[in-house]
Amino acid sequence: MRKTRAIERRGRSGRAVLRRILYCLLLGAGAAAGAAAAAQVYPADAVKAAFLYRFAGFIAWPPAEAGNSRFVIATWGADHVADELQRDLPTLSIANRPVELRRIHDVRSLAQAQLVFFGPGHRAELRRASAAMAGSPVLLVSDDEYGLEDGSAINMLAIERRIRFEISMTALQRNGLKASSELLAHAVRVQAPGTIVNQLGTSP
Amino acid sequence: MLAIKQRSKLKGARTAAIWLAILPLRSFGAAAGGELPNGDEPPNDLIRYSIDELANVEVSTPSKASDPIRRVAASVYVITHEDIVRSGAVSIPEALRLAPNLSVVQNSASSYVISMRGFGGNPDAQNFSNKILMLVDGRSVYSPLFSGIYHDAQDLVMDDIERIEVLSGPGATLWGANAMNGVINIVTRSAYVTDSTLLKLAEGNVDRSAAVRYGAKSDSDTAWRVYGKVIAHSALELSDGSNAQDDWSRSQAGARYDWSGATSGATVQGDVYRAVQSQAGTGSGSIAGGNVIGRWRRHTAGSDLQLQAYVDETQRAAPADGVAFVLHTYDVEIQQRLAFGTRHTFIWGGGERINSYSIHNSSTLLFEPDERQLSLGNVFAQDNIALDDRWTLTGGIKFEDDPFSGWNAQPDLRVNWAPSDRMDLWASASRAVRSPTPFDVDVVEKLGTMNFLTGYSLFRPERVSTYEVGYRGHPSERFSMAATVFYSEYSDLRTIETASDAVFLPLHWGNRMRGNTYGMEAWADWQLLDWWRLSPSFTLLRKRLHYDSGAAGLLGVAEAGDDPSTQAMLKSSMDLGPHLALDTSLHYVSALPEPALPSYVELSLRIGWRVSGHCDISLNGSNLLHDHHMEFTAPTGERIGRKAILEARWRL
Repeated sequence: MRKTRAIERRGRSGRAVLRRILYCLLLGAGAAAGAAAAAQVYPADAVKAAFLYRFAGFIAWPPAEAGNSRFVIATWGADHVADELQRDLPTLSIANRPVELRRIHDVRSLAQAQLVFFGPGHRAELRRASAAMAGSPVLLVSDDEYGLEDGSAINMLAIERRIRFEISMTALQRNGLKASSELLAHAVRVQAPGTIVNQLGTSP
Repeated sequence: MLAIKQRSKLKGARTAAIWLAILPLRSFGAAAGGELPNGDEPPNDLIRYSIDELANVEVSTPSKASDPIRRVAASVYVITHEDIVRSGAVSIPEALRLAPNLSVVQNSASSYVISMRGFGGNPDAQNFSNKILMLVDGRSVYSPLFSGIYHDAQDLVMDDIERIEVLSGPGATLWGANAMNGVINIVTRSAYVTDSTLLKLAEGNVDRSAAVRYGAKSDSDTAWRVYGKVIAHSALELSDGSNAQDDWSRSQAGARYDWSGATSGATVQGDVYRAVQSQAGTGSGSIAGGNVIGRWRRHTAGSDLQLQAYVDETQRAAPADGVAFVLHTYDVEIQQRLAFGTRHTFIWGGGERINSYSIHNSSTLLFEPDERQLSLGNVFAQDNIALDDRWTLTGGIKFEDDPFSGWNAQPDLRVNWAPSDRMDLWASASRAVRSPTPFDVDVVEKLGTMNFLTGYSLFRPERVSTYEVGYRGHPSERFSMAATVFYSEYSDLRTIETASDAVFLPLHWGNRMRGNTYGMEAWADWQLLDWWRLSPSFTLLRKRLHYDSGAAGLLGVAEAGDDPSTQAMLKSSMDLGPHLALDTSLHYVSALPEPALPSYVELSLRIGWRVSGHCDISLNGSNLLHDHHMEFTAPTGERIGRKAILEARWRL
């Protein structure tokens, strides 16, 4: 089974090489060397979904409360990332608990979640959530240049065609969570400089 | 007139031909797009990746619909790092051509006029584009001497720019005086992101450049980079085709250090530069300068505090009998953002700036006095209130004390309504001023031994009140757009007045023009396919200016600016597989009214080839449709011809 897939892949990459040679000829770029070693490119939302799952694994979670045997990941304004995560959901477990995915739109729904992911531009929502959830063991993850300033503990950044992340120790402590040193080691600590978004604020 | 019409038909035919040449690639690209994101690997492979593997996975370009700037209640266009790299721009003014809400006019090899919502100025009236502010990493590069921006004094390694935010409309409450029509905010990348070695070499028929940057993380909290860049620009041609002899070259070096602790962070950065510019028949002029800026930030629950200080030196030496100057700027600023409860975000701040200069007068253009030390202070406050889940109100005011006109109040009120998560409607009312400068007050222009034109000691700030309504939305994940309609009322605009009703000379500056402008700015971003993005945009501008009663009315209202009424652009970005990118941009600028200049359409095209993870090669052509075009009338404007540049970039 694995072998067949590998052969299929090789066939595809052969066709890909041909296509690339054609581009080069068409465009007059005239060099096919680049066609070798085609790097795999993934949709950013799929990578973000995988990151969400990984993050949860590096956090020391308090034991599950009685009556809640599921680990709840909630998304706010990030439907595409939720779609990607949904696909893999049945196979996942976090802290030995099956994973449930919820798409939420109000602060009240936050209480049942262990991890909440905010899509880009949801700064005011994140600020409200951060204020409302202080002291609760909830990991707030954002995908916005100013995520950490608005109170998230982990913020994703697109850098050089890769998804990286930054961590706020203050926010982790505020929610009584601890991240493993391995997670910290992979973080890019980038603070947002004064920009127009920062200054003018955003709508709710 | 007929000749112009025929030419524009030809332009159309050529444009079509180039698009036809590109179109057959679509089918190949579509196949490539299919293999990219979801094809080869089953999706659950990714979810099993380690954190390290995930951090190294290459992702396809995210859609612009997810840009957080879309939720700001103002007309802001963001030129991203990706946009800059993909445009192949070698200088900041060329990168600014990517913003639809800017008008970028190249006059000579080194001189650009960049304006927003009109008022690009008129060189015959000694009127310059003086109603926009530009900041580079928080440092103002607006010249306090003549009001305006020396674009030849600003440069960066283009790869180190994180983003350029172009705000049209008054931005005075937060950024201060002179942001009457807008703000250009250039933000460079944090040293954490540039922790690699970059080497760039570019060779073209007009520009050639080399840049090197070395960056590293010293530990998990600190990172730094150093860089150097040299660039040489060939001379343009005069309108008769002869060599304008205005070639110039520039070198710059700089460094940046970032430290980031758990709750605070600091940045120290600086640059030094020098340029030599030839001028036909008069030898060469030079510019030189340097700056150091330090910023310290502290984030605690509910508060962001920032302190910033900088020192800047700017020198210009003109050839032969020209004006030369040395200007030192010292600036300190404090700013704090506070969250009160869950509804209020309050920002307050203040600052003090000292401009100390010494001017070497020429025999025909003098500043009296030729040295001054000017201090400019300000305080401001702004509150952003989330009225409920859908409505936000932002109100703010800045008080600024300028050395010539005293205290000025610059208020700003904005309301934003988000009827759904996919749509924002906003409205604003704001006021801003352009403060008087030594050029308005101290200048003396001589005609032989006689005073021809003098500054005006009672010169008042130029004023504007602007009202805007805007829409910003992303009806689907693949499509986003923004549109803004504005109406501005100007008063006290600078004019040239006679000595008295009976005596003509000496002329002096006055504040006797007023009027209004209105128009529209709109742009969209359409991710047509995973590998193809189209970005159309256009701007419209109408100006209705007139003189106050009693004004001399010399030169006519056109002295305020010779601005195009319409600009339009269509950009296309294609990823033809993981190694090949094709970017094209078609740009239209309508005719200039007075002095008259025909409209033009131009095309640029860039092919970028990623040879390996470390090396890229690109070929960039601009102004491809015509042998040459002009962006301003002669003698100020010069011919701009076809450009081609081959660039190689290594990242280690």
